[in-house]
Amino acid sequence: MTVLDIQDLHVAFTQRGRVTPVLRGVNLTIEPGRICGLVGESGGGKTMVGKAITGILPEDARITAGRILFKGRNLIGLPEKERRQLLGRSIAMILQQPTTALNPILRIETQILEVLQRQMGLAHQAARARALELLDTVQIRAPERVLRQYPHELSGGMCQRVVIAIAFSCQPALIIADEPTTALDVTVQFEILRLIKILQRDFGTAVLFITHDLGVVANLCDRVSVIFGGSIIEEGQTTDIFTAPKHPYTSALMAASPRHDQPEKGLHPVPAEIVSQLWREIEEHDRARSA
Amino acid sequence: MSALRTSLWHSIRTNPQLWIGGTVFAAIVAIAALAPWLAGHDPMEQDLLSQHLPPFWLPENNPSFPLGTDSLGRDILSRLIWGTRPVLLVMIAGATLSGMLGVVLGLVSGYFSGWLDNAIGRLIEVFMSFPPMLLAIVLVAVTGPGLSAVVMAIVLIGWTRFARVIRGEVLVLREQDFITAARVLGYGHRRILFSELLPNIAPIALALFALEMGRAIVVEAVLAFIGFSASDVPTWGGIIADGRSYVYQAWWVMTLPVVCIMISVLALSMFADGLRKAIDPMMQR
Repeated sequence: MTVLDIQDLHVAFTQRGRVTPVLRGVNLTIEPGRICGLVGESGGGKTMVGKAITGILPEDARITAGRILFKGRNLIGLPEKERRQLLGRSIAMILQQPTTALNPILRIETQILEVLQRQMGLAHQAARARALELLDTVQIRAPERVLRQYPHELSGGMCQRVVIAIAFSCQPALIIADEPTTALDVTVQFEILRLIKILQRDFGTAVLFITHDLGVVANLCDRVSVIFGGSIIEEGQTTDIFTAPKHPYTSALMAASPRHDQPEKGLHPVPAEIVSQLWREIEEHDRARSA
Repeated sequence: MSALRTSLWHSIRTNPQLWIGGTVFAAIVAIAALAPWLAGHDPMEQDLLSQHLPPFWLPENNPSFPLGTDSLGRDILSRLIWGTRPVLLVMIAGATLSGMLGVVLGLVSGYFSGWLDNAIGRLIEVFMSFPPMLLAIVLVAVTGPGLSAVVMAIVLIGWTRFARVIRGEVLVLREQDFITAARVLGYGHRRILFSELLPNIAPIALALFALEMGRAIVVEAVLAFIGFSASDVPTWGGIIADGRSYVYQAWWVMTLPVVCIMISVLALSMFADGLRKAIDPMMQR
């Protein structure tokens, strides 16, 4: 059964009475245990997709149409209580900034145990044992010591491991990873990606991997969706997309990725014609919808 | 054991405010607790034959009244010592109640935007726009003088300071990723308010608490000065009020309690600073 099925999702900002659409009919499906990449440039709406799923859209943003089915259940309009039961336990999220995603004034122990006790209903002793196990799983070498530490005493990579441990702690069916490695340096980035891959395979977790980094997508994801201007312009198997992109924007995006092995090729921004053509289409679409 | 001693020494060296302020505060508590044994005289006992005796460093002093006597011949030292009791009560009750009220309203106001925030914000502004002393005087006029009226006056003014600062802190904190992370983990509002936000504002709330204790002393003194505090027990403000009429004949009657108030308020604001430094894990480096 499909874990996540987003159908025709529309999200719009309302500011001083003016409605600005950010998602214009996003369709996306993720099968159990698969990693689906969601790529696009900044402002393309990729983060909004993650926020819409977890219900943390900004206050002035609203879902105007569409359905978000999690295991066949529509998350939109779900009562607050049921939504909160799903979050953390069945759907978890990894945020971009690991150093700020942890409460700065609470020890790591408090933060991990809180999830285990609340969401898994474990007693203190059992939760502590499980927390040590989890930290070991995310390859933290001195779990006992890390439990006693505060986030500011840990490096960004360590913090992200803790965040990942918390995300996987309840063995959720779906994890939304919003640029989880963007704030980290390249060597740490690689370890974190490998960790996410190992854990998602071991736990059978489906992952929605939101990123702007095509290199990461190529290595990690089973399927890719390319988002532009709030709609998916191309979707398919990672290998297909990378060998034979159908949409000119996708090929331009791939050409725009800097290649360290071929520096002589230089930097190639996405051609302006492609972008302005896409925006023309979007504006037409908006006009058609509002008419 | 020696590790404990070195860490204690380290703390005294790096955070002297905490220790100086804390020591003075502890001394006030000790004096209040031991008042019956420390005071040489009954603070209410009048001795009309020994009015306006000067303190020990001036000529014509009487060794049995080390800090002299007031216009009714009462021992000032004993009155100052017994005066720590109402001061302490007012300090702790006033700061605790205004702290609790202010922290809860500040948390709620900062976390939930919208009408609730607006309502609490307006309320803070209304209370702050009143001259605080006028507010206290009106209150005492309604309830009658006494220590409970003083505490109420302190709370009425003090909560706004907590609420305003805490609200500002929460406005910044709630936009941070760890609050988003908590929401994504399915935590409810109550849990986010009290388990995630409250620990983050605890250092600043404690510092405000210590400052508020200092302010409580001043409010009590002012209210006592105009005769709105307790009259059946000696208070520092009451001694100042008594000494005012005779300030040319016996300046020490008024000066000594002022010195006590200054030392206490100064010590409490030092304690407040030190406390914040000691509690906040981010500042411990």
